[in-house]
Amino acid sequence: MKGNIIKFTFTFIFVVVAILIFILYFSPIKYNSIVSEPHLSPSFEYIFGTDYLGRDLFIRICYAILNTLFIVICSIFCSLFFGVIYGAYAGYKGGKIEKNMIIFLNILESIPSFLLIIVFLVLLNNFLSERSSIFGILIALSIVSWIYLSRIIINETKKIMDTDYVQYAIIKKASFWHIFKFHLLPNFRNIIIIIIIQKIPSFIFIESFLSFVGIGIQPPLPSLGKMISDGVKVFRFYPHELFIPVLTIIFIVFIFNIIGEIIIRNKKEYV
Amino acid sequence: MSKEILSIKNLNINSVSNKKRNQILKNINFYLFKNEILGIVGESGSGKTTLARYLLGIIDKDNMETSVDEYFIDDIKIDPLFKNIKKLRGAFINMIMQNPVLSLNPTMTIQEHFKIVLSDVSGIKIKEKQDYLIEKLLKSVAMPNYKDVLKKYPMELSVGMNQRINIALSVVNKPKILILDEPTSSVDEENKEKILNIINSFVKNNKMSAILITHDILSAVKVCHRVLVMRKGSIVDNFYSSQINFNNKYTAELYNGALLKRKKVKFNKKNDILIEMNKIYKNFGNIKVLNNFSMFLKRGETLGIVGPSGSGKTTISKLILGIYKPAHGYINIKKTIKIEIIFQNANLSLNHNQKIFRLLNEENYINKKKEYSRSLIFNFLKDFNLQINILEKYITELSEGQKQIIAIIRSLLNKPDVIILDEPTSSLDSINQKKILDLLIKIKKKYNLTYILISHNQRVIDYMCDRCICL
Repeated sequence: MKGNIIKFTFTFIFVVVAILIFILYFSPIKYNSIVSEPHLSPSFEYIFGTDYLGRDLFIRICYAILNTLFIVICSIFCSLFFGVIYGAYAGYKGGKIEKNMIIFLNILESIPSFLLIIVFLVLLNNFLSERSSIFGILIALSIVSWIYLSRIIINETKKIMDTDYVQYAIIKKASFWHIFKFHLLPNFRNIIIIIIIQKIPSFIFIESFLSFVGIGIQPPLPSLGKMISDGVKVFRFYPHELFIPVLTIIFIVFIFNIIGEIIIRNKKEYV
Repeated sequence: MSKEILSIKNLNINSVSNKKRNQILKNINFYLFKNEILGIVGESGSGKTTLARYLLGIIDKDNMETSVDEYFIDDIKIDPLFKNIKKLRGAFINMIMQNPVLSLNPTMTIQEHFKIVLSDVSGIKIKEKQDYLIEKLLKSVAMPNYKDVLKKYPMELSVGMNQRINIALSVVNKPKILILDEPTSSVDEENKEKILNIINSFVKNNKMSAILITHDILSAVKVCHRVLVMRKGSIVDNFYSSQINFNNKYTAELYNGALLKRKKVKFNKKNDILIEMNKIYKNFGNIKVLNNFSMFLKRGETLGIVGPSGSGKTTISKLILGIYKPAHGYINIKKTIKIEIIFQNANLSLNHNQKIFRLLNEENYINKKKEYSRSLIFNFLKDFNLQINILEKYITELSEGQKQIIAIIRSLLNKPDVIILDEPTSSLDSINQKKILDLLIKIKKKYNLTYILISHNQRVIDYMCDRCICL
């Protein structure tokens, strides 16, 4: 049961990404090619219509979803990488080192995370080209989210360090890497999967918000947030330009929330 | 002792989870007389606790299917959905749980616990009357300096004290039936006796009936009038403890397993000394654990270390293994010998998320050596009657006894000279305990081992050891 949900989630993401890449690769229209008059309503030729420059909205939405998923998944894995290693090392060492490492986390956490992201992005966007603005937002998201993660991992590690099997490994003079690979990581598996699936919706939301404000993904790269902010300007006359990206975000967040809910409901037999 | 106060006919319980059905209790019929103490004995996993929880109607209804023909408590027919048991709970039938510390609220003092029970359940709200009753109750459970205890929180007291408070709390309302679910399993030998005596006198003085659920057949025979033996969810034997007759093979096995009659083993006194500890002092903060402790260990012997919990048994093993350093004194360990340890709880001493083959090879991974070949491991498995396919399983798929065997094999594979056994059987029931102890004696001969056996059970020490240190 539990394995099936997780397998289903990952195959689902994989299949969606594959379909999107397939569409983008074989379609003659590119995300930035102006195909027709601006502000066309949805029709058979252009499924979602066109935007204020006359670009195909459907292709742009597909591209934007891919961008969003790429940012979200990569930043989750980046923050997992740092968070897990930092947390596991702090929990493993204990004592003064752990205390100082937790103080460092506290200092970072005392800065409001949105402020940190915004300052970081504004600085970074000066150096990055428009095309690499994706990586800026990726780094910013990872920097903020690993703190929360390593806190959970510290507690989890301390629990595992108390068990006899870790004590046995310590008696055998095992190194940190052995304990980390052999004992800690397999025990983190469940908690990590839950964190990933819980975090995806909120990350999608933050990414769209930043693009909406104008410091996220930079044009001409399409992003859902930017498309919404464009749609707002012409909302009275061409409402489809606002509703289509909004509904897309709602749809993605809804799906991931449902999957997360199912997994957390089964948490009892699971953790 | 004539009238039945509780009777149950044809009780069946199935657990239903993940579309798997598992029969936990099969066709249970029994009755409890007035003023009687009834013992229910069985291995772990025989369904004792499920039965106790059913009697109070606190069973997990989502995952359990129950069917019963008749269930009477003192002429009141209990509805199968337990709609009318709520009034009886607390006032008429009460239960003491397995873990005394977890069954008290950690955010409340002992006094507050008593106050809630007295004012809410029995309706005594006058303070003087409450104080008088609390004093009387605490005196009756032989609580030393009870006035200090009242101001304390549960975690500030020892396990034995907590269990006494639980007993006192459960008899505030003078229930007619008291169900005791392993009241002594987390308590050391000395306190165990005291608690059993308290329960015994309580039941007699207050004219109650009690059901004592335990895996320790000896204490059941000692305290109870009548004993039921359970195995795999059904009652297999029923006898009066005044006239024990072993018509049933299983009962005899349980009883003899618990008794542990010693066989004499010869041991050469001239052997060389492997480990020597001299005038060791060790303290944790202000708490002195070891005070001028000395010992030696000779090759080929089994040294027992006995003592109540908190007397520093585990500290000694950790000093030998080098996890702790002594404050004063020296430890002399022969350089060529290899020391292994087998822990108390096999469930916690093996990682649940690694396959058994990888668990057995852990030392090789640490030292970056080659894995043991499967044929080598298979030779060991054969000695213990285990199949080769066990290597691809996880530890959670094994029984309690098998888990401990895997821990023993893990130690043996590293070719040790000395094995420290830290309460190797305290989490097992008497049959499994005897099996493991006999196994340990067998492998000691086969591989020329030396044991240090740490235990709080005097019988286990007597059965195994050549020499014994009391702390």
